[in-house]
Amino acid sequence: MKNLFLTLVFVLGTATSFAGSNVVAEEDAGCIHVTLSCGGEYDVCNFKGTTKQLIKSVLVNDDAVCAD
Amino acid sequence: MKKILLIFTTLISITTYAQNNLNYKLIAKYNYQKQIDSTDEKSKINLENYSLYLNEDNSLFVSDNRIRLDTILNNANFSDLDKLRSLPKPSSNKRIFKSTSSKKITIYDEFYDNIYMYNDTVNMKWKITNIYDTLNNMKVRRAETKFRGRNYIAWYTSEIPISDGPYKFRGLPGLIIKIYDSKKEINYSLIGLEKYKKSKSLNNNYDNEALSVSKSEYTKIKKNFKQNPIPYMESQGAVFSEETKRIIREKFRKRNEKTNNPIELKENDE
Repeated sequence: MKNLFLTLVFVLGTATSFAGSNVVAEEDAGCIHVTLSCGGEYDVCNFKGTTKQLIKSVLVNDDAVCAD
Repeated sequence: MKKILLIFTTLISITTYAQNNLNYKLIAKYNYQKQIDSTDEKSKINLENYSLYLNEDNSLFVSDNRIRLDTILNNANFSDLDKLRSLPKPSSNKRIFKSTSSKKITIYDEFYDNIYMYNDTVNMKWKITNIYDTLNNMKVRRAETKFRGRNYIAWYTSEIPISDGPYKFRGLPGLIIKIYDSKKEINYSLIGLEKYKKSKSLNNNYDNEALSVSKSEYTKIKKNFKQNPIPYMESQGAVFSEETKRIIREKFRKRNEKTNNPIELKENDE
């Protein structure tokens, strides 16, 4: 029961976090689908770090693909 | 018993909070110029401003852009991504922490999703000359040193008797106001001083997040990442198409070609 509650909190929390962003990042079965600022797309699957670390990695990936 | 436990927990929280914040009364602000490509003099640019946060025992040298990013990142969620992407990127993610009681310098560097922490021992031997000048309305004196493959000229002032300066430079009987290498590829110039009567606090919570490594381990990890970032990115869960991988490889190759002029040309002191 506790695990179910935690899972729901995680899913709802993740959905809420993504809701306000112009940058598309959608969670699906352990993977997050990210659309880069220059239009490319990729997934992040089974990420084990914190939200802050995930955001940092998204920023670096965006820079790696999109920066001039 | 519960009350004692509560007081004890509160005390631990306060102590932890204190350790994670750097208190300072003075900020020395420097403009940093660098020739990014050693083969192209036109690549000399004003990179950005850095701040040296100072108290009696410690200092922290960090890029202003890094601090701005950190301020948002500390409580960020995905709705902040666009805002974070629009901020100017720091030219370096290094945070250089010096303690007056030790020759060891602790460096926190960040790439990808991790912060790495390592110690660097710096033995800087200065030659103080009898050449004087005036900079920023302060009487300054010229000093020279060699540091990891470059010859440096520094101008320091005894009017601010703090033995510190930008980057890893310190050891003079006053604050370094300006320092540049003999080829003028690296240049830090003081652009302002902010003094506070009461201590201010800077969030310094890197210790909690940082992975402690040796300097050689750090150098190896960073070199591998710069040469081939994709395995590192994939190990952290990123799943790229072959086309995206090709773009990343190409961009990193071009970037590595252009940024070929590090501050430290040699690993160790001479």
